Amino acid sequence: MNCRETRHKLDRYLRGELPGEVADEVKTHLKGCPDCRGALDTARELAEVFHRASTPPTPEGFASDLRELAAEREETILGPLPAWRTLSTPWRAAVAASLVVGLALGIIMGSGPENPAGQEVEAAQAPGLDYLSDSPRGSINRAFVSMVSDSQGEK
Amino acid sequence: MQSDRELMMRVAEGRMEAFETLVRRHQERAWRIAYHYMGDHDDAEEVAQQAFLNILDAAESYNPSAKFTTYLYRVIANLCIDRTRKRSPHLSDDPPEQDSPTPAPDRRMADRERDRAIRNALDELTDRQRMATVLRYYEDLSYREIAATMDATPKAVERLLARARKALGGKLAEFAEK
Repeated sequence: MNCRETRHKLDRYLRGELPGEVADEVKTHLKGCPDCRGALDTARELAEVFHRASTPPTPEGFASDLRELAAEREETILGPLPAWRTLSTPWRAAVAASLVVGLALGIIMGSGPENPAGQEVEAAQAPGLDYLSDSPRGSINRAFVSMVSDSQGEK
Repeated sequence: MQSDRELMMRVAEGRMEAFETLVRRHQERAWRIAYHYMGDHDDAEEVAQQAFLNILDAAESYNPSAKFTTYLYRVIANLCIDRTRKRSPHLSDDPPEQDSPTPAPDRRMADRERDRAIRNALDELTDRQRMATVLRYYEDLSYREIAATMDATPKAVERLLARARKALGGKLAEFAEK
């Protein structure tokens, strides 16, 4: 190992972070190289200087100020949260499952055959919407059929 | 206690109390990195706050395979480097007063002189050398973690730090306690 390679590894050598084999190579080089031993002393001193450097405390109210900033941004950029985003994941899954089940039931109930026997149905007996009115059952259907027959007869 | 990953999932659901828990848990390290890199109280506060806001904005795309702290370091490092590239040269803050116990006046003056020398020496490094130095010496990160933070290889980090040590050594070694 040459001087350049050794100096690149001095920091990790000091902290015992090098694999054993590499650390042994550095150690061997250091024994025979006063310049690199000087660099090792400098690296040690540097680590010690940084270790004792002062750091001011985190500004007071940092987290609460940040929460307000974040809430303001959410309101400004996105508008109020949509209702679904306020639900937790299990609730979202439950709502989604209910929607799927409801949709599936709707499809099943709506797709059943209206005339399962496949019999031909006279227009006059076909189910119509007149059951909702006060008219006698089938009267609207009969009126429609007779109107169509008359208009075809005219042609 | 909820893990950072669980908290991030809740943040993605719009849970602000989870966001606040994350902030309280990591504010000190975010502040420390930003302060030692920027060398200015107000700039550091803005950077640290912006880092958390960026994390909030990107919460839904957070990749839990990455350790949260690595993700946080990366966001802060990018903001710090980006900001120093844009800002005009400035004078750094005076070093902070030491906390209790109150040291003797001579001691206090020596500490302030040392902190100012560190600040000036850091300001003379390149952006990436300075960030690698802050992460290594103030945060005690491994070369692998620094590499992940700075999108570099451990070998590149080794070179960055070796150059930084060479530049810093002559200026700061005298402040070591003999």
